Amino acid sequence: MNVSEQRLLIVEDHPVVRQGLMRALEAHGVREIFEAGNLAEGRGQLAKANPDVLITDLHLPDGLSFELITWARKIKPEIAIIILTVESNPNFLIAAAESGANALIHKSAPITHLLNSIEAALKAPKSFTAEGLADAIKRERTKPHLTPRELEVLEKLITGAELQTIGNALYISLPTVKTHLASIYRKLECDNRTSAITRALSLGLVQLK
Amino acid sequence: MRLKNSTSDSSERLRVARDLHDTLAQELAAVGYLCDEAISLSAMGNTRQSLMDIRSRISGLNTVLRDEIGILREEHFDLGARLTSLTAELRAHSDKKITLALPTTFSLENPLALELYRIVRELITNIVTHAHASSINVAVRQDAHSIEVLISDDGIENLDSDVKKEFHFGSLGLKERIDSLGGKLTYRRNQEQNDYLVVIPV
Repeated sequence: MNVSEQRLLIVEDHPVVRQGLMRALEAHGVREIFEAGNLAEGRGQLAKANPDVLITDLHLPDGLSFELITWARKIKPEIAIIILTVESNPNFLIAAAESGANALIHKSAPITHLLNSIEAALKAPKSFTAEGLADAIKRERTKPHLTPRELEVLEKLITGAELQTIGNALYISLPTVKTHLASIYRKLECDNRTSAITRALSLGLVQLK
Repeated sequence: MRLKNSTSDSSERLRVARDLHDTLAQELAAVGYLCDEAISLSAMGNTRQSLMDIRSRISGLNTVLRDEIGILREEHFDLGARLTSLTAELRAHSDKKITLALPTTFSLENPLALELYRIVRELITNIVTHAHASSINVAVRQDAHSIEVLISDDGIENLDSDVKKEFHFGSLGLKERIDSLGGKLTYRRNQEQNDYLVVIPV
């Protein structure tokens, strides 16, 4: 599958990077390139241009691009999706794989690397590759495993909500909330709310909104 | 008061990290892509080779910049942890065998630890880029008077004319760093192997 015959959408908020990327891709024969500077424009372009390849920055002015990626994958399962980033935070690797992207590439990598990744992604739209992924998975395995319910309680806990309020929001009784909380403390090896929140944040189990 | 100071320090560090991330790192990425464009439009030959050398330097600079942004974001600089993650990252990016031996305990004050880390990072990344080595071993040792880092590789001999003179090799930054710490760098070609020894008094 020749990359130069595909329709590409670049979602990137730094104009210099966007322009540089477009020129390098054009020099490699890519003819149809569409661009967007944020998530909102990206969504619009996805619908309008119907690209075969989505290349997106991770951090955009209106948020992280995971939601855009998941949506793009849903409406076009065979699309190739590449995340370009200057980040080296391994927490993003797992999230990138789960979002439906095919590769996470550092912006310092040469364009040939990007083109190879696009080609691989077009051939295997369900695949995911990134440098350092094996290490990230190893680290992920050593993290405490919280149940989805415990993660929900944790997310509410971070907002500073009272236990009763958390129970009401999740339709569970106060004693049940306390049971989940005890389990969270045990798994995170903490004995109070503040240290549990700090630890969960540093492990990347939850994010501040 | 102390807490306040350290808080404003760390928010200042985070601000600088954000600035570097949003400006310099992006500009460098853009320059890299422009270089890719030039490579693709140029014919085979010397010009293309020069452009590819420039490209490889830009990528290297960007890796160093990303590492520095990571250091700025950290609350405490931990030499052992940083060296571990640097070697892990280089392993992931290349097909080279890279080992790291750290002493069970070693203590180093922060400005010194950070400078030593930058010296070692430059030496290792130089070897990875230029030495055509298949294996690189890094060993750190500390006694009461000094800290020593021995970096060995099985690559080609370093024929840089300055390399054999103490203090005088590599980039100016490397020489200045070692000088400013009152330290010493020696290079030795030893049985098909390159040994670089950095000794810094503590």
